[in-house]
Amino acid sequence: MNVTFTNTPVDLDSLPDYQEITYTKVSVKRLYKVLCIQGVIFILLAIGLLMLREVTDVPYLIPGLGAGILLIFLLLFSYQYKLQKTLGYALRERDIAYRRGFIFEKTTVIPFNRIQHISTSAGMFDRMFGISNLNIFTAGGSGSDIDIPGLTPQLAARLKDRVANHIIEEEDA
Amino acid sequence: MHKPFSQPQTQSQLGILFIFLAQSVKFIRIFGAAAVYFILKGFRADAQLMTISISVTLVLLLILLGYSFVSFKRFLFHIDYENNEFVLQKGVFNRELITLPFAKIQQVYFKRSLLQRLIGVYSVILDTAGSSTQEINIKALSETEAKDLQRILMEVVTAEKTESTQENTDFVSEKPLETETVWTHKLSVLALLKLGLTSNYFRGVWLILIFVGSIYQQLGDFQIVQEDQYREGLQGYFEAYSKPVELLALTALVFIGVFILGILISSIEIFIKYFDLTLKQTRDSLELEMGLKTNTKISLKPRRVQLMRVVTNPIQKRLNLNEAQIAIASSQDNLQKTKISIPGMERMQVERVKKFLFSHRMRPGRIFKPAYILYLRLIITAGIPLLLTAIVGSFLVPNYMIEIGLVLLVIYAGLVLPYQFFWYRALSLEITPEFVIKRKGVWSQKTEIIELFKLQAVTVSQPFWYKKRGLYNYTFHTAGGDLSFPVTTSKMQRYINYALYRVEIDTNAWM
Repeated sequence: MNVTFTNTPVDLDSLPDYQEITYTKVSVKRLYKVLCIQGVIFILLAIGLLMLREVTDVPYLIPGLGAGILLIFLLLFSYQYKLQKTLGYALRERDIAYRRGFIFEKTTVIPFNRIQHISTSAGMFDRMFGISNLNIFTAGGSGSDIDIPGLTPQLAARLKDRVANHIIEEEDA
Repeated sequence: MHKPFSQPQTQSQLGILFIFLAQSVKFIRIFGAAAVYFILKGFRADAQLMTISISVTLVLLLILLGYSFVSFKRFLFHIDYENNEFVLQKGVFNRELITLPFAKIQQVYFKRSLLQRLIGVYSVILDTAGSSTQEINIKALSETEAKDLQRILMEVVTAEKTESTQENTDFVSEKPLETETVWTHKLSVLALLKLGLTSNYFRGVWLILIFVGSIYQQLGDFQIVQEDQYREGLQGYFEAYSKPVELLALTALVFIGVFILGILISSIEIFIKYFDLTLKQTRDSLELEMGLKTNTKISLKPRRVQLMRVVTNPIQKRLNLNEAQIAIASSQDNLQKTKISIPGMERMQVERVKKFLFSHRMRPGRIFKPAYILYLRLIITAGIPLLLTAIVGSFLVPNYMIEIGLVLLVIYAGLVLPYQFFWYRALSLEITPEFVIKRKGVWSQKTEIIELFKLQAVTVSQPFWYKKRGLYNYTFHTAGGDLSFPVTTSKMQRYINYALYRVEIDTNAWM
């Protein structure tokens, strides 16, 4: 099948623009999950610091370390908060787009007829918060694979089925 | 009818010998250094010790032989025609059962190491799109067995593929694989020589440095070179050549010597690697054969090709030498393995390869250049090492600040700025109706070509500080590696839409 392509702006403009898609935001539970994990690590570090205080007497070591760790975690928390707002996915008729990143806003578009394999996964913390991830694999290596986090398990399963059906349709066509 | 390879079978009888020798070589590699060390370290010829060590060696050899035998007996492979898969059982202690569906087989090719050539056996490698651990290597087959296996596997694989994609019905009805040659490209000894002299010298120089470094380290381990001896030597060197002119001349001489040696080593390497390179185009594949030490045979089907790169440099351009590198479907972690290089091709031949590999003709398209911000970014990042040198210098020799600053400034203005400028100017991306073409490189000029319909995905990224300017970084993902293009205007977005459209309307098999 040879598609004739002319290089006039009109033709290009008539194509659907991926930048005009409206993205669906992922569940805020993802943010809670990540914050919870970071909180646990933070508490563990704090306990470690308290124990360290018992065995050393270097002046300003504990306050310095404490302030440093607190600062790092505040930065991490706010980064995640910002990141949460940018996470979004969109299904189109023939492809799926995933947008993420707040310092680097990154959008990956994968046509359905190039998806190799699709699965859902949920880690321990994911299950605690009742969310799961949708993993989409292509033959293009890790750079073009996407993991969409923070979906309810039902939604993830539904998306998976829908994308999987699209793949089959493509193969039948 | 009895189908070939349908029963589980072992490798060629010579396989035992091959496994045994290969294991012995491994053994010697591990313990050889220790043995040599002991002999060097005043190992007195004690009769008792001699008998013990000899008997230990003999026992070890017997164990090794036993291991080789069991390993040989347990390495069984066959073709399961009913389930359309290749089955391999192996393992002495941990038994492994590997099944490889025909549809997953990308390529079947031969490889021979020096040892395999001596014994007269072939490696048959079944390549898959997955990672290297999924690849099957049958290391010891006789020539006829290897050829039969390759032919039969290729037949069933193509049959399977044509069935599943329901295209090219004429494919099966026509003659089998061994069809007439359309054209042949042979690399003569003279061409090899030219290639060696014009290739990457830095690689040769680098190899020398590694070699000298490792030798020095080895000597240091044996404490032949004493620390203070070395110091004295260095001091003597400085004293004997204390006049700057002499020092400069000597350094230059050493540099030139290393450079010439580098060329020599590159030439030898190229000679060994590409000796007797033959590229044949048959009706539906490119057959490549090359190598002095390891003889590699590769059969390339156009559909497998994901990314093609043509590399040349100004000298090679004059001599009409181009290197074609072809990446076929693979996972990213083993890109090196699946990149096939064919050096020393004339422009005409490159065009012929392109014409054969690509299903569409090249037509001119829209050319994009990166924004000038990229040049600023390049010269700033290239300036950082120089700045660091200046800072370190100001601590070490504060008295010579002006001289050091001047030298660095000359390097920056004379080398870095123009180099980065030419690099920036050479960088371009062309999107044609059927291809994405990226050109880059000042000295070694690379042209990377992707067929649009073979794209897997597209990623567009934008750091927030480019938002106001509307600049983006674009990455095109293929199964043979990514192609990225930095800092370009949002005008390219429309072509991204086109690229996606081109992939989505496509129904051709992409691998």
